[in-house]
Amino acid sequence: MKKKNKSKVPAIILAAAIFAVWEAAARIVNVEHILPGPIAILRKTWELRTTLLTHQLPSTMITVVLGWGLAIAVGVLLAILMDVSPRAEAALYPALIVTQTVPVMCITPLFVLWFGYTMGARLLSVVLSTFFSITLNTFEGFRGVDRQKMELMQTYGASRRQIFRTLKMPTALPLFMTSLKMTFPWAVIDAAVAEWLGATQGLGYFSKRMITKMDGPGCFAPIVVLTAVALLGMAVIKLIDRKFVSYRNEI
Amino acid sequence: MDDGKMTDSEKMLDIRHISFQYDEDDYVLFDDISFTVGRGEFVSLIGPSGSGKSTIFKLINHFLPLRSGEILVDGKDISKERVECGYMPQHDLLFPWRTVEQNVMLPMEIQGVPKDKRKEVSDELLDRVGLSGTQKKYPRELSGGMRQRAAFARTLATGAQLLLLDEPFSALDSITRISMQEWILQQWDTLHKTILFVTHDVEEAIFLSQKILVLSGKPIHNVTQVDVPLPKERSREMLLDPDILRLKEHLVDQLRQEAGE
Repeated sequence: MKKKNKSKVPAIILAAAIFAVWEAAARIVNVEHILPGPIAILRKTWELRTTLLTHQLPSTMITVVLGWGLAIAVGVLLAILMDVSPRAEAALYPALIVTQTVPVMCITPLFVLWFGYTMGARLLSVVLSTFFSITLNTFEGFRGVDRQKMELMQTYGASRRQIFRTLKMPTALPLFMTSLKMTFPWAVIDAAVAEWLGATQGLGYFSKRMITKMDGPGCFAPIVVLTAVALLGMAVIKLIDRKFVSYRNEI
Repeated sequence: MDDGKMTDSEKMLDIRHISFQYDEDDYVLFDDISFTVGRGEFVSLIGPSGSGKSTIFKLINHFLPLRSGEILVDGKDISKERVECGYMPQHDLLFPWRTVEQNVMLPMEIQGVPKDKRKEVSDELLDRVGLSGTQKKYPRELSGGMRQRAAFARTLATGAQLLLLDEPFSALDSITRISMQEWILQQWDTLHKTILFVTHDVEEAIFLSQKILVLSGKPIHNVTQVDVPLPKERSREMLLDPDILRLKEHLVDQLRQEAGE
């Protein structure tokens, strides 16, 4: 059975194989709190669905949405600032590159130390781990503006603001969307880690609590939900991208 | 051959003793050159590649500062006031995120023309260039020739009297190019605009224009004007006339000499 177009079959076979091996290993080891199998995890997820979806998930989503939203706002503002002012670019660009290399997760405990078990600490963690990628991509997008199109706009007598709105923004949009696709899963992961370290609610916190209870499947169940959220978010972004940025390859 | 008797009001473009050098170059590009384009004329500017033909357009658009001299468009000094020129670049530069109609409306949008007026004018222009029905299409859905016509409609939407066309057909295949040349002549005939057309194609220049300006010298200090002995209504067969063939040979020779071949 040969298929010419990109088939999903190999991916499905591989995934099925991995899960089968995992499940088999879990049954052989037969110590659930150390190596829970996928079936046990799914069963546990189903059992815990009420608390996971109505209690823990909303709390995590607030951190994700607020933190990521803030990161987008900060990211775009900085990109615009760098585009408008060469001095700001000279100052910020190297700093951003360095920020990129800082493992924010590792300093999240510090934020908890400073702010306690608060939303602020978690938001800071999410913002810091995602904004630079949005800034850098968006800024690259502004920089990618075709010189000739710029000149054409100038022959029309366009002001800087008009050029920004009608030429630069649409040119930068594809890279901005790419940065959204990249950073959304990071935001989810980082929100969960921040909850691990400094929260009394949320999927990350719940997972940690299950570990202390030696509940292997219970520790994995919130992670199943987190993965689903990240995948769903990416699918939505992809859909928006396809609708509004179909000109990606023509810039 | 120079019609130096043209009065100031008959001149659409008046280049007066301009000199120019790029900052990064160690040689002067233009050294005291002058020429004029009369109102309603179709004039081609030819020169070997790298001779700075496109630089002339950049100077007229005031993207680059003159060393000396003046450029007047419709009697207005471009260094003192903003002058509308309809600039059409070699590549159509249509914005891929805008529909054909939105592309044509772009210059009017910049000028702050009200929305319903923009729509009205763009419909009219698209109809004129034979693209009615493509309003809501995106540039990628059009052929190369159609894209250039859309770009021409956008150029007209500036409302400028002087159109600066920078090798607009050079990226097209030869068959499309020939039909676009015939098409632009018809457009010019009915538009009553002044066209300055840059090209490196001698035949194209002869077929299209009433006057040909040849840039020569190193640095360029000479602009020779050649009148094309063809009527306004022309066909491609006329290019086979012995006089025209001689003119073509003459111009090609001149360009080759300039290029140092």
